[in-house]
Amino acid sequence: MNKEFSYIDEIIDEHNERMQNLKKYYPFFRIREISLDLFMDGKYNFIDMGYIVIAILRLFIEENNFNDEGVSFKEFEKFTTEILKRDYDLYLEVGENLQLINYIFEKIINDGKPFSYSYYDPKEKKTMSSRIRLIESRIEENAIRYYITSQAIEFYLDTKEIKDESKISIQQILLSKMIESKNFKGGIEVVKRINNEVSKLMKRKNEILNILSYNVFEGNKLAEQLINTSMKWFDEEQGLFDKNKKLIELALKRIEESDSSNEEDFLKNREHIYNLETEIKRAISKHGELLNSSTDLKIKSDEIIKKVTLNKLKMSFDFKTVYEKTLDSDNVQLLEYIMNPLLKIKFKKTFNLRNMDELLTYRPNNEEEGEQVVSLEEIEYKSLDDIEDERIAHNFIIFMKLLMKYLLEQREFTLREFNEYLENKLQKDILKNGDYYSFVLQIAQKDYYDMGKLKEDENTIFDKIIIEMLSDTDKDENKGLKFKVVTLPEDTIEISSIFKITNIKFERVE
Amino acid sequence: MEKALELFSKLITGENVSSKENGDLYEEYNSNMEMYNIFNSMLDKLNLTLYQYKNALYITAGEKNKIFGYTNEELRKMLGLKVNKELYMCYFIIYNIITLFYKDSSSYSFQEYIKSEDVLKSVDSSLSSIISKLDGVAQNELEENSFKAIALLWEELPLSHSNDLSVNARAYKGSRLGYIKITFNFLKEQNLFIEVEERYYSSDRFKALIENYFEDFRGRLYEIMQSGGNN
Repeated sequence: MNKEFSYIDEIIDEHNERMQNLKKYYPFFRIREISLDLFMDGKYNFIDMGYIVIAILRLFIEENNFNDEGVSFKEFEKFTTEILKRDYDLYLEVGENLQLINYIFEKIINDGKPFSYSYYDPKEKKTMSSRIRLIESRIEENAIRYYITSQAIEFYLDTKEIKDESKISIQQILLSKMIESKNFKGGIEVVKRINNEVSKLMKRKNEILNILSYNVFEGNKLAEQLINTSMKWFDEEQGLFDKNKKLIELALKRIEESDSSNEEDFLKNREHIYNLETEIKRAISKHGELLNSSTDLKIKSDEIIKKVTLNKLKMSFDFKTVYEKTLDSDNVQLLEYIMNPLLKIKFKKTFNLRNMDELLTYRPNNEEEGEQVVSLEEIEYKSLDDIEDERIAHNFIIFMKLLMKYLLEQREFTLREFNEYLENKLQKDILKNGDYYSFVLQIAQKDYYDMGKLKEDENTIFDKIIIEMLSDTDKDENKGLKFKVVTLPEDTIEISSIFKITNIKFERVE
Repeated sequence: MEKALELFSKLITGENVSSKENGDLYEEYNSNMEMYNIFNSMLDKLNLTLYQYKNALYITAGEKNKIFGYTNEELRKMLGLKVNKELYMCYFIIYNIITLFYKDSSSYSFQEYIKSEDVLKSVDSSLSSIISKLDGVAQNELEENSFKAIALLWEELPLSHSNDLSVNARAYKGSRLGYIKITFNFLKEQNLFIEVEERYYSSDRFKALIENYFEDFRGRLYEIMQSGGNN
């Protein structure tokens, strides 16, 4: 780093703040530079836009801050026409006058967009962009009203009034001095300025809320600044208000008690004091509102930060994508899905006139018409359990038939041999069938089976299934079959690693 | 129940309900849990959606509501149009107006107002790519809801029906600016825009619905667009 310019760090550090402070002057010079050359071939380029801007800002300050009212376009038009007539002798035809005023108005509001002010920040090493408006619009009772921004008020006051950290306190001290020196009229002006300052701070709050809606970081920084500065001075200001109120009451008392030799002076002074009292009461209540608005700002900014954090996680609806999709399907009608939700509710219901004929020719029956009763058969539904039972019975019958067939062929065999027989007859997977295991378990319940007498000692569901199987149509040899079931506990059959089963010997009895 | 019905009747007839107008009902809605619940279940049953925006309540019938929505015929009548193609032209203009303020439902718009010329430019550029492909297309083969039909309609219209451009365009479907005027008049009537000297400001109702409705129903709308409206 070059030692010669030791102040370079300071230049870099302070540059951003300096540029931010310069911001409020930017729109004025921008508008001033835009001469009226382009409008109607420069017919009115002699009008000084700088003068017009300053005059118009005063109109807004008066209307917005002293009268607490927004300015309509009509009022703007009236005011500007007055200036053009008074200062430039421009008595124009109505249509042309309106065109000229519209042009001037659009320049001042920068076609509805904020003035964009950019500068290089040597600390961040990038170009910063800052936005500023002089006039903003609001919708009130379904009409557009225009308001001056706090930055524009600041700009206006900076052109003449002195800048200080808390203008309210300075003005209050000034007011005390004025009351003490019995300059009541001057005091009223001071209170008006205090009111203006309070209004400016309240306006600043709304602007910060607006900034918060699109740039949370910037908005939050500004909100904290405002809360810190306005809160810091609150107690002091409140004390000064009380003091000034007492001073006014005292002055009023003194003037009532004094034997004034000049009646005219007495009345004038009393009127001034009353006016001053009214103004200061208004100021106190406005000041109270400011306190509320600062608290409100804190609550709202917290809410917005919370909402934005949530929104970061939420996806938004992209109009461009939707358009591309409608274009892909070449169907403009799809845009109705975007338009319909915006429409008002249709609450007027219409009656089709064609129905009138039907109404007039309608003949109600003299007697009630009978209704034919149709008897319908009940439908039975199978439950899941029924379906499962059916499946088990079906599988049991297959296994039983094969067991009996094998018994008739072999006379005697073990379960291991029967397993192999089944695998050959059916398929290898059969040993993994759960129903087969329950079949083996069921059959091992008894050690002797006589198919012919099964009906007589039917004990289990399994028996019932077998009896049903041995219907009249079944082979006679099956019906006469008798066999023993002998368990072989020392021999265990293992099928895969899951199933283990004790071997059984089946033996046909003649 | 009585309060809920009162609030319902105000909203459905298009009255404003906010902290300033009908403030008692607005307060009641926000503080009386019972009324809040009754009211919301009423809306639910009727397939209506409510949004709270900047201390005011706004209601919408959504995208296809048989009872509270409009048919094409009713919309044509409101706009003073004869055929669906002309209605779709207006849909297209409205879509362009929305995109002049919003890129997506969450983007803040720096634009305070727009003018007819802005809309004209936007529609021109949106349709220009379609118009360039129009050569050799037989007009009577086009479906009334196709983009080409709209582009052709736009292409054949003069810019304005008056030679003097400084004269305010009339709402008349004989010109491009006339169509835009028809659309803006409709949007004004629907409390979506406010006009001052040909400058069109979007209303809080417009912002409330754009910023909330489309976000809430994003999934469903994307699905409809994907399937070409067969949903």
